[in-house]
Amino acid sequence: MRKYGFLFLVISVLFGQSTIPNTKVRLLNNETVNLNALTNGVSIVSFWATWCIPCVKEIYAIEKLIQENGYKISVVLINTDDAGKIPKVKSFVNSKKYLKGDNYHIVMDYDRKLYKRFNAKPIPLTFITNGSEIVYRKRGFVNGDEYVFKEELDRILNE
Amino acid sequence: MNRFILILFFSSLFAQAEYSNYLNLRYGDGEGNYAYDEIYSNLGITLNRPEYRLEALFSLELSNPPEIGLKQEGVREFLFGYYNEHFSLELGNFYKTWGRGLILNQVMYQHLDFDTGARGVSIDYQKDDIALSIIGGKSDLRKSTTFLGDYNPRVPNYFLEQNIYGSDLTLSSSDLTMGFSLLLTEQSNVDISSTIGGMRFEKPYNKGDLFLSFMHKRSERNGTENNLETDKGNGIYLSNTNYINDWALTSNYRRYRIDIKDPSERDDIVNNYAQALDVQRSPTAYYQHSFKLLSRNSKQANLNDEVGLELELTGPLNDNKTLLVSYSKSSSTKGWHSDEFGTWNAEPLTITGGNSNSLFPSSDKDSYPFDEFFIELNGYNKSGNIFYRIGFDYLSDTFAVLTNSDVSESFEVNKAITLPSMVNIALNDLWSIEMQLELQRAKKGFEVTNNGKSSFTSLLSEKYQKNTFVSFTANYSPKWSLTVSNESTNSDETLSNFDSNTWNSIALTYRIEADSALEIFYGSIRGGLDCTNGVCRYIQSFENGLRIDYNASFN
Repeated sequence: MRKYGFLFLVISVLFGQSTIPNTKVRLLNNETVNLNALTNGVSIVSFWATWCIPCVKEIYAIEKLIQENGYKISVVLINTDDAGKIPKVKSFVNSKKYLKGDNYHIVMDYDRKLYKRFNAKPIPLTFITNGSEIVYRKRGFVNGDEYVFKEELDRILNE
Repeated sequence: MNRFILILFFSSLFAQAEYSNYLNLRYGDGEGNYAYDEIYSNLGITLNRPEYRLEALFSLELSNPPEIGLKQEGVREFLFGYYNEHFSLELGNFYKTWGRGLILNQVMYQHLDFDTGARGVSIDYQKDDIALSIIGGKSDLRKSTTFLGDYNPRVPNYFLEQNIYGSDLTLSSSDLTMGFSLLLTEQSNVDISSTIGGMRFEKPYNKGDLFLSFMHKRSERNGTENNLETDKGNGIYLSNTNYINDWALTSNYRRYRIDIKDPSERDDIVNNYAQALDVQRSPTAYYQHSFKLLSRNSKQANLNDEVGLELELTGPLNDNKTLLVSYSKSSSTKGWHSDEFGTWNAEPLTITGGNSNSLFPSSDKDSYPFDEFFIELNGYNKSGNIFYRIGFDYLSDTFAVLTNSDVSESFEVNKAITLPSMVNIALNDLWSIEMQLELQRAKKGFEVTNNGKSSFTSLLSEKYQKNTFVSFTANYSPKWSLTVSNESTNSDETLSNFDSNTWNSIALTYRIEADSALEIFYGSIRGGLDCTNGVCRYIQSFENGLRIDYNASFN
């Protein structure tokens, strides 16, 4: 078993890449959409939960970054709270004006399918995507990390 | 020839597929034989085609021993999936949630070794306004319980195997969503089966939305349906959110009467068979705290017998500040009274008077009352470089009814006031600091009344337990963080006179790449309850030791 695990590790290190899958997801308003339809163009995709303070700080920092730089990008926030916490997610989103904007999409992943598919533990796990291709991937958030996002976004948008 | 075909097959696969791998290495060595050594690797292969997608996921674990749970060497989980626009087929370990979890809500809390996933087949079909889900599989659950011998907080001693089969149908329209579910379970180590049926409705309306779900459960032992009240359970969960501009008021109501047991059996998870199944995980409607001392003092949900209410108001005070006010109240659905022979009876309710609490939670001590009030203000300063959270929490929990007869009453209670706070300051584009201070005063013990005379016997050597948690973190973005923390208490019922009542630690996190990090920790971590969504587990303290944690993604 160790042999096969090691072999796969080598393969994935050498050939590893990832895209946003063409999979149906449920939004907070119960609408069902294709995930990669939300990541058209350049977007930020982030796994988060209401109890995760670094996630909440990161969402605020992303919004500030968008405002200060006038980025026309979509933000896909994949929520990993338990299904029983849906009212809490709705209240949280309602309390932030910017989260109700057209460029924000709140995806509910309480089946944890995307969470498992992208190995999202621990959160926040954040991607920058260009179309369906994941071009940057980052885990955790501390103040200042938004400037790393800015560098990556500027690079992709100027390509 | 075979080798050639194999090479051809893998070359063709490598050329078209995507690979991902997440690796987590954990090592710990503390005093008192607290050592662990774990390697987790999550491997994924995905083949994307315009019409369909194929996925294979494997979770490998090599642990001897793990920090919590059983040692394992090999495939912990796997999943093969076929997905197209309307249809999906999965073979392997699946996790499902129907509605908000009143009937099925499979979760995996690895830090609590609580995993209610099942291994089997899952089929989903979705087109337009109809969604159908069919499942069949086996769920292996394990727990640590003091109701069995050889109790060890780190190693499970109770194992439950269940076959689960079920289907869920969801019908949606623009203004109403309805769901119908049926779940059958068979416990494989003893002859016990259950049938759970339920329905749910979700209706958004102008300035709000409403969710309502019901379930009914019938259990049989040895192929016979015993006509006991406990074998025919039911549950209801109602949630309503109203929006007033950016403010939201959420009210949740739940009433679970799945398996009503008297105080002598209420917490016995081993010998009762008609209990709420762990795959259900109904909504608990308790506030899920992210502060350290509050999460340790959380309520352990009783999904068999509980009636509860939760009110939560959230909204912005201005562009930068958010206020949150939460109040939760719950109790058992019956009060308990013992006669002169010590036999428990549910009626009459109390010796102090009291009311029937089958519809609304009671405050009477004989009904396991729980109340929590929490208020939090959080936000940023005007320039946006200071983030703060400050809160106040009051909790009162009667978690054991020991005696309650005409001549004497005795209840085990926990009452606590907590003042949590944290501030995070961005000093410039690279440097930031974070400070956290939490203060808690708790009263734990027995409220006793004998022949009209009331007294309180503390579980602690002091009248009040005073807990303090302080931490300081310095971050240098995006590379490293250093955290120093201290937790102390003046008294703890789980500590002997020789144990330390202070836990200090230092942790350095170095982010090697954007998605890989190495954390080195030295010091102690206080033990006690660790709770997530009403699932609690007693965690052993980690004393004066080294922990190393490395995680990385390769994709």
